[in-house]
Formats: sequence, structure tokens, C-alpha cells
Amino acid sequence: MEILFSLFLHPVAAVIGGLLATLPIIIHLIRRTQYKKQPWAAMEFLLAAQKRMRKRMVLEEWILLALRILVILLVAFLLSRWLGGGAAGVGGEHFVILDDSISMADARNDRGTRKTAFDSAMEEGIRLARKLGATRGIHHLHFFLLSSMNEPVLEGRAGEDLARQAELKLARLKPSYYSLDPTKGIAAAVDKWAASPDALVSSHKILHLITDCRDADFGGQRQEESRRLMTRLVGSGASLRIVDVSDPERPNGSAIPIGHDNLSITGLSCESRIVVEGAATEFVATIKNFGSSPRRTFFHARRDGVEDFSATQPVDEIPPGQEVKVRFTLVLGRNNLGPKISSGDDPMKRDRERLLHRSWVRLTGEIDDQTTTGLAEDNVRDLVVEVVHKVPVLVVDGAGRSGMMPGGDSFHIDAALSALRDFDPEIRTVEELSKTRLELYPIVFMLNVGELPPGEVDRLLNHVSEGASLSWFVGDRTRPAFVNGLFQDKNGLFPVLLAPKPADPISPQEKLDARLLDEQPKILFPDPTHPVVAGVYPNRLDFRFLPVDRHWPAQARFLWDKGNGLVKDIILLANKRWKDDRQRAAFRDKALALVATFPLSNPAEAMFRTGLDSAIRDIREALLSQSQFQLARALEKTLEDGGELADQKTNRPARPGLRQLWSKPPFVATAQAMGELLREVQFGDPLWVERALGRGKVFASMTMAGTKTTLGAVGAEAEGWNEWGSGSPMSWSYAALMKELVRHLLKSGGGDIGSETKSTDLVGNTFELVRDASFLSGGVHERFDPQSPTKVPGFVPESQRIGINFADAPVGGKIRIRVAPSPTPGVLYLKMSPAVVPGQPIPGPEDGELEAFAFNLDANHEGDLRRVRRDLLEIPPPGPGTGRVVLSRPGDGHDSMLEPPRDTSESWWIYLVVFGVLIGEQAMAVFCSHHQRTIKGEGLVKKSPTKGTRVIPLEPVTLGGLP
Amino acid sequence: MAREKRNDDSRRFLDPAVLSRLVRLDLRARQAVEGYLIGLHASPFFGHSVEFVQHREYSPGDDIRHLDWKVWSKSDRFYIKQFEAETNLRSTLLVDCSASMSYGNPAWNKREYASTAAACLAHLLVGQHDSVGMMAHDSDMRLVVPAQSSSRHLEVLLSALEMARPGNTSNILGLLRRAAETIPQRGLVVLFSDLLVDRSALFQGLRMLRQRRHDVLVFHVLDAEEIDFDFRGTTRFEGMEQPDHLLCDPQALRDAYHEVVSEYLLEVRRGCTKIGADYLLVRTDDSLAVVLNKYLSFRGDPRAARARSGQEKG
Repeated sequence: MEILFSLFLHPVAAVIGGLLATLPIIIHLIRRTQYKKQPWAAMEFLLAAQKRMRKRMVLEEWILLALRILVILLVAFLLSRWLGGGAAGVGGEHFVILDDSISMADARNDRGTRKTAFDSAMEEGIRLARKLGATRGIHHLHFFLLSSMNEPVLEGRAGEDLARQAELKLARLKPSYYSLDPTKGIAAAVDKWAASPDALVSSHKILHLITDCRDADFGGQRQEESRRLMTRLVGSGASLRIVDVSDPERPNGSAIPIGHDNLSITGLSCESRIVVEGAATEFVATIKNFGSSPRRTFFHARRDGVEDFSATQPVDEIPPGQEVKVRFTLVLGRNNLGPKISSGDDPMKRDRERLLHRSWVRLTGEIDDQTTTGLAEDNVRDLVVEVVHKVPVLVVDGAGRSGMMPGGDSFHIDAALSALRDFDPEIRTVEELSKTRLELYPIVFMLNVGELPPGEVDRLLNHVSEGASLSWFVGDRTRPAFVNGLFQDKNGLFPVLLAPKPADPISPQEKLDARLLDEQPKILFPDPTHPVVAGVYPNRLDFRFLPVDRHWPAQARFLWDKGNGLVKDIILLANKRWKDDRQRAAFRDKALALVATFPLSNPAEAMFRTGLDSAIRDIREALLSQSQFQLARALEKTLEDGGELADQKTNRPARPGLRQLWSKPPFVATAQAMGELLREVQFGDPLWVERALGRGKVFASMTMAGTKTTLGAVGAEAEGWNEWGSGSPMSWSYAALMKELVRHLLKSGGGDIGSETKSTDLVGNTFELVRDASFLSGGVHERFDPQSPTKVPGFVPESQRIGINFADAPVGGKIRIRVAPSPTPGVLYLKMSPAVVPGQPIPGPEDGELEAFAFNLDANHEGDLRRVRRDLLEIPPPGPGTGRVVLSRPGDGHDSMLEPPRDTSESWWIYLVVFGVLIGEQAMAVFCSHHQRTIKGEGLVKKSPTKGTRVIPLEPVTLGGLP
Repeated sequence: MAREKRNDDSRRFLDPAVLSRLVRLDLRARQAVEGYLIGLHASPFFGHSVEFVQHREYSPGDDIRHLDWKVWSKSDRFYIKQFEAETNLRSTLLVDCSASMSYGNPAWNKREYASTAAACLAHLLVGQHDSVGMMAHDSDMRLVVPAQSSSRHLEVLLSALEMARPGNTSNILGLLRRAAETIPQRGLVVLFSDLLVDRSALFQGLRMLRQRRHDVLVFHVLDAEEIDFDFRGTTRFEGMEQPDHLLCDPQALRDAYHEVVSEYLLEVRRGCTKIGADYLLVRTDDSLAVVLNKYLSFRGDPRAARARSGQEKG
């Protein structure tokens, strides 16, 4: 039947014609059964005649039969409008894709009324239905929304009826809040035409893509893909008509038309994933100007719907094409206080209390957009943050309870965190980890842990990927095989690869020398601006008194740091002595090569000669010493030399600093090379390292958190690895660094303020929550509060359900909650019923673990209303027989494109063929004596006209002598 | 004018359509012959004499009455004196009564036509005091009427013709051989048949008759439909003497049929001519005058006689 549809306009007539074509055969067979009997004497002649005529008769009969069948078929072909093998069509197959991405809500002032690009698209669709109805041929229209290409919103034969339906149906449609790619619509249309049997009916296929033709959709990175898809479409024989409905209308001669200016809030984030109640918390809103001129606006923030004027501020001068970050500080409180959690309670009970009384605050940022054009929907953005009384920090000590004894790892961590008002450490053993609700703890410490069960490793990986931070402190219990496996098999759950064993213990004399005589700082800070060390960096030289006697070295750096920026060094150990003479010789060569570049003989730099001589002297002396530190200090002194003031007493003139020399362009390279050499000389093994993982981060300290070992070893092995936590003049820095570390670990994303957390997603995205089945009963209640912008005209918020899909039964002890894509911006609240735990109070109907998620539109992409260049859309036809791409304005004719080519049944020669076959049939019928013809006067013996006798018209023969 | 009108009136009795209405054969024959004779002038063919031809040596079994005693007295040898026919012409009518002869209109089919024509000839011959015999045959000899010349003999002939009904297949060679063997004296043998037989057998039989110095006159009787083959519509032709049948569209076969029939007629005509037998094709819708005319032409044409005698010598 598909083939019939591809060949005929009226396939039913073709089928009937095909059946009628058997009529001559049927008549022939009927006539074979209806005959008269004739006794016949001259059978001999009849059989001979039949034998003589047999082949000819059969051939003639077959030809006649074929001609008669052909006549009927041709007539049937004409009646059923033969299309000629699908090479042409008598109508058109039109896909109309209406771009309903949120950018189509771009409004303009149309004679006092607000009209969007989507409104223009609807009008164009209705106009097209009406116009095609008046165009020659039969045209079928299929209206699709770009957001739902699976099902057409309206389809039918073009005409007034369809236009009226379109007026009724399309008028009710509104643009979605999704960010949609119009080129995906092209791809979908190609696939549909390839898969649809209707596509065979007509080769006159046109895709009408009614869109706002933004550069963000067709240009930039999408340029190649859109061009490839358009080429693929027209290569299949279809044509593409792109209708640009943006305002103002695209002039014919203009390559890049002007578009509407637009301001958007492209981001709203909190400095930390969890906000401490009553603490001042910094928030950042990112506002981008997509227009072509500087813009000003006013920023407002609403907390749970109520404007907080402390955040309200003007935003001055946003340059075109750039963004500004608006920072504001809020002090948030909990809206669900709950009972006081006592440290004496059962740990599981504490977890339960925390979960049942989670509190979320919805923060809405909004900007004023004074213009009447542009997109209003992207001026609002939501954020949800969890507000806690104190941030719970999970501390897992591999030494168990002994780690909580003085000098133990968890003892020192607990002491450091307990001193902070905002953090609430929760110390657990490795065995208790499986009963712990990890989602409660944004920060997890793993102290001197030898190994974890595989299930817990998976939980931790999931937890970190969702935004938590995992902090490792190695120790004497650490098993390198296990942690290295975490690096390789678990996407870097441990940030480095450890060497097979820790550094050897040092002798008591070395310890004493290190504490009393060694001037070298024991730890170095490669990035002084890093938030963890920025506070202690000014005291960096004091760390010569910090004893770090043992650490666990990392493997060669290239094995675990690919240079992609994922791994960051926070603290490094200092190199102490040359490893061997070869290393020393190598550094000496490098240093001397650098010294050789110093401008000693340059008269223009003669004023630096004294400083340079002093620096060269220091470097040469350092190269003679056994300590790398000496060379590092000489290099650092050379780089940081500030010069000397004049001394009146000794009549010494002022000496300019070498920093002045290195700032000169000819010597910048020398200074950089010196800096590289300095880092190479002084930076040793990593001590504190962090690495981004998913939405969260992992941290590792290569030395112990405590001051004592716990394995019960004897001798040097039993000595503590450091005296950072206590017993050292620099122990004060332990608490300070820990404070900054947990605050850093609490920060969302990669640690830089401004990135949004897991709780913020885009409309149209679906995600999945994985929770432990042992803690939840499976019941979930949802509530969705849509965004309620105060500045969007005509916006009527309505509460709705977005649908949640649960697995019927827990799989592998997990409950998977699939959250369907939200069609509108807003905040989704999920209240998950807890499971009944023996020994714990049965949860009431109001009890539930609350989680909130904010959905925003993709303002970064959709807010950019700049329009694409004409040449990116109007691609030339790839070859003969292919379709074409035209860029048109609403209401443009393109009649030649819309009108289908003439089909075969309209050709004059097909009628000529029918006429010829008909004549042939008649001639053949007469020839085969199947038509009436006179036989009077014929025959072998004719009657003599005169004598009334008959003569035989044969050759003259002698009849027995008669004439 | 009156003479011509009279001739026309008399010839209407020769019309097959008229004759077919007459049930009795004698009436038909008399009507035909009298109608024919009335239209003629005085016959130039009446009266024949008997003449001596030759001697031949006596052989046992010869009738001793024909011994020439004068020769015996001179040469002391027995010779038989042979004469030409002592009586008037001895004619034998051979009428085909095979099944194929019944084809056609039952009132006037080939057999009826042949019987009527034979009766006409008998009537004519008896009227001239010639002796007439008759044989009717199909696959075998059905009737044999010895030749006589009495007027009562005519009734016997006519009765015999009426009794002869179509039977089986035709055995023409048997008939002609029988005729050649049983006709004691040379005479005229007239064959009425549709000749739907094996041609080689036909020619062989005719040759046997000619070898016995019989004058042979062949009336080839065919129905008009057998020549014209004017049938329409799908028809199943069933053989009358053969078990064959053929379902066909006769119009499609018509041309080829005409070709085959033409070749057949030509073959028969040439065969008869070669043998020295007079041949005439008659259709059942032909006037009987054709038959009588042919006969009388045959009897009175000296060229034909010379041709016959020449072929006999040859």
C-alpha cells in the first residue's frame, strides 16, 4: 500500500483498476465455458488449420489480451492520477516546526500591545495553512512544536478548515521555558520523513522552520552542526524554508539584522552549599548584558517571596556583551527549628532528628528591565539553600575509639572543629559508616582509614559527585593499594597516587636539628591566594618551627596529575638536601645559565650592577652549600630584591632593587625562568592536595591529622608523624588551617563562589536521586512552587505537579527517584517518608525528609537574542535534484517553492499513449477477427453473377477436358 | 421472351430449395430431369451401335458362344471375338453413404443431394434405355443394384437410394476395388461422395477403375458451410467419422481453414485429372442442373472422349 501511495494520488482507484484489468481474462475464461456444439465432417481440415494457426493464434490472442489489459490499466492510472513512480507529486508534504523555546517570548510593542515572536510564528502558521489551501495541488500540513517533535499539535489538509483549526488551537499555545535547539527539529524532520510512509506520497517536501533565527542557535559552535543538518535535509530532496519572526523584520539586503537588547540573570549562587543559621552568607547573582549598548538595572532579592531590601542594589553600567556579578550578604534563619540535638544522644537518632527537621530557604533574584522589548522571563532566577543550625561534619576515624584519645586523629579534628561555632563534628568509626546518612554531611573526613567496604566507597562516590567534600588524612593505617585503587577505579575519589610506603622516620638528632637549627620553612604555599592558606601565608616563614617529620610521598606527579587543572596543591613540603651530585649539578647548570643572562656589562643597566653582583655572589655560595634551601633563598632574594636606601653614615648611595630590573620587558623572561627554577628547587612532595570530582571535591593530607600513631608500633615507627596539632610553636596554625579548610570544603562547586549547586537545575532536565532504601519507606510527596516574577506581564503562577517516577522496589538497597523534567521554572519540594526504625519513634504523617530543588531557564543561552547572519542560513543547494534553503520573512510568498511540480498524469503524452494503445487494441481485435465484419462474397466458391452457378477461384486446371 | 420465361420456369425445379421440399426421391428426380430436359433442345446423344473390336485367344472360362468358328476353321485355333458394348451404355452409380455425408441441413444434406443427383442421372439414363446399376457404401458395401435398363428398374434404383442411410466411416478404396472387380463390362462409373477420405486410397481406387477402362465421373459433394466455414462464436466441432473434437473460435481459424480446403480441393482435382477421371465440385446449394449439365457434356464431348482414350493408352 505504501508503494501505491507513492505512485497514485487515488490509490483506491488504482486498486479497482488493477482488479478490472483481470476482466478480459475472466471474460475469456467464461467464454471458454460457454460454447455450442457442432458435428463436423471435415475435421481433417479443421485440425490442420488449427495446427497451422496454433502459434500465431496464441500470439495474437496474447497480444490482444495484453492490449486490453493495458487499456484498462492505463485508464485506471489516469483515474487514479498516476504520479509517475513518485518522481513528482500533485501536492506537498509540509512540516511546520514552531520554535517554542523561551527566546520566542521576546516581545515587542505592536501598536500599543505586547506581541511576542511566538505570536508572529502562530500567525505565520495560520497564514501558511490558508495560502497552501489556495495553491495548486493537495498539501498536507503537520504542525509541530519544537519541544514535542514526537506528536504534531495539528495536522491536516491545507485549506480554510485547517486555518480555522489553527486559529483555535495555535492561539492557545505559549512558548515553553525550555532551551531548544532548532537544528534538532531539522534532524527530527529528516528522520520522520525517512521513516514515514506518507513521505513516499510526495517528493514535494518542505520544512517550514519558524524561529527567531538567533545566532546562539545557528552560529558559533552550532554553525557546523546546523549546516550539516540543513545539507542533509536538502540532500534528501526536501526544501527548508526558515521563517525569521524576530522583530524587527529582517531586511533583504542586510547581512546581520539588529536584534532586541536583553538583560538576563544567568546565575544565582551561594558561597556554600549549606548555610549556617544566623551567619552572614554571601550570595552572588550574575547579570549579563546581551545587548549592543551599556545597560543599567536594579537588583532585587526575595527570600521565600518576601523582598529583602538588604540585598536590593543598583547595578551600574553593564558593558555590552559582558556580565557583572552582584554580591550581597544575607543572614538566613531556619523556618523549621526542630528539637535540640544533644551530643549524648545515639548517633543514629541524631541523624534522624537532623533529617526530619531540614529547613530550606528559597531565594529569588530579579532585575528590572526597563525596556518594552526583549525577554522578560530571564530576569528572574531561583535558588534554594539548606539552612542548618550547625554544619554537621562527619569524621570517620580508622583507629576507631582510640583515635578519639588525646593525640589521636579524630581528637584533634574534633577539637579544631568544635572550636568553630558553625560546625558540628560527628565522629564515627568505619563500622558505623554504613548506618550513617551521608546526605546529611556536606563534609566527610576520613582519618587514617585503612580500607572501606566497596558499598561505602560507592556511597561516598555518589555523595561527592552530588556536591559533598571528602577529606582524607593518611596515617600509619593507610593502605596504598586501597587508596590508589580509589584514584584509578573510582574516578579519583583519592586525589593522588601514593608511594608504596611512607617516608622513613628520622633520627632524634635530625629532629632536634630540624626544630632548632634549620631555618627552612617546613611547608610551602604554592598559591598564596588559595582561601585555605591565604590567612597564614604572611606567617609563612614561621613554619620553620613546624615539625613534619613523616609524610606519605606521592608517586611521580605525571601519574596522577594530567595537567588539566583538576588537581591543586594547597601545601607542599620543602626540599631539603640535594638528592645526589647529579641533581645538584643539574640545578647548578641551570642557575649559572641564568646568571649568564644578567646584564652586567650593559651600560644602560649599570645602576643594577651592584645588586646583580650581590645576587650572583649569593647564588654561587648557595650552589656550594648542601641545602637546596640556600639556593632557593638566593633565588627568591634575587627576585624580590627591593634595593637599599642611601646611608648617610657610610656614604653609601641608594641602590635600586632588582625587582625594577625584572619588570623591564627584556628581562621578564629571565625573571620567569628564575621563578620556575625557584619552584623547582624549593617545592617538594605535596602535603595537602585537592581535586574536583563531579559537583564536589576531594582533599588529601599526606600526613596525619593527629600527633600520635595508633597501630601500636614500637621504636621510631611509633613516633608521631608531626606535632602540628599540639606541642609545637606553630600548633596555632592547625586550628586556623582546619577552620579555613572546612569552610573551603563547604563551598559549593569547585570552590569558587558563583557556581550553582546540585539543587539548581534547568527546566526540561530530568535527574535522579539515589537514596538508601533502609532509611526511607518509599513514600514521597511533592510540591512545586512555580516561579512568580513580578515583572513579567501576564504571568499567572499556578501550582502544579511535575511527576515523579519511583522504582517499584529498591534495587541493591537503593531507591531511585526519577524527577521528570519541569516545564516551568520554580522550586520542587520533595518530602520523603522515613522508614520505621526499631527502637525509634514511629514517624508521623507530617514527618518527612525535605529536599528542595530549584529549576531555572537557561538564560545563558536563551537570553542572547542576537540574530544570525544571513549567509549562515542560506546555504547553496548541494547538487542537482536536491532541495533548497530559503530565508524568508513572515508572509513572504515563495510561490514557486510552495507549488509542487506537475505530475505524470498531467502530461500530454500519457493521453497519447492511452489513445495509441486503444487504437492498437481495436486494430488487433479486427485483425484477430474478434470484431464483426462482413464475410458476404468471400469464400472459395463464388456465385457466378450471370449464370447463377459457382466457380472455384483457384488456379486453372483441366477438369477432364472441360474448359 | 416467352421461350426464356419458360426456361426459367422449368429451371426452378432444379433449385435445391424447391427439391428439398419433395419427400419422395422419384418425384425429385423426375422433376429435376423433366425440368431440365424441357429447357433443352433436341438431344444429340440418342442412339449407339455395337462394333467389332478385336480377337483374342480363348482361355478356359470364356463363353464359347463368342468363339469365332470361322477363324477356328481356318487356323484350328480358338479365338474369341470381342465387340464393343452390345447394349446401350452401362452406367454404375456409386453413392457415398458414410456418416460425413449426413452433414448439413437434414432435409438437404450432402447425402440427400447426392441421392437426388444420382436419381436424376438414373432417370435420365433409363429414359435413354441405358442400363444403370448402383452401389451404396460406407465402410462396407451396403447396397448393390445390378445394372439394367428397364423402366421398372428405375423404381428399384430409387428405392435403393432411399434405403441407403448414412452409416460408418468411408472405405473408398474398398468400394472402388469392389466396383472395379464386379462391373463386368466397361462403362460409366459415377461417384457421388464428399471425398473426405484418404487421398491416396481414393486415387488408387479411381486408377483401378480407369485401368478397367471405365469412364469415371466424380461428383464431389460438399456442403456450403464446409467450404465457407462461416461460423461465429466459440464452437466445439465434433468429428462425425472421427472421435476428434476441437474447441475454437472459428473466425480466427477461418483463413487457415480456407487455405487447407483450397489445398485439398486442388489436390483432389489434380489427382482426378491425372488419373483421367472427370471431376466436378458441387455444393449442396448448387442447382442440380450443374450435375446434369456436366453429365451430358461428358457424354457428348469428343475431346473428352479422346482425352479419356489417350489416357487409357498411356
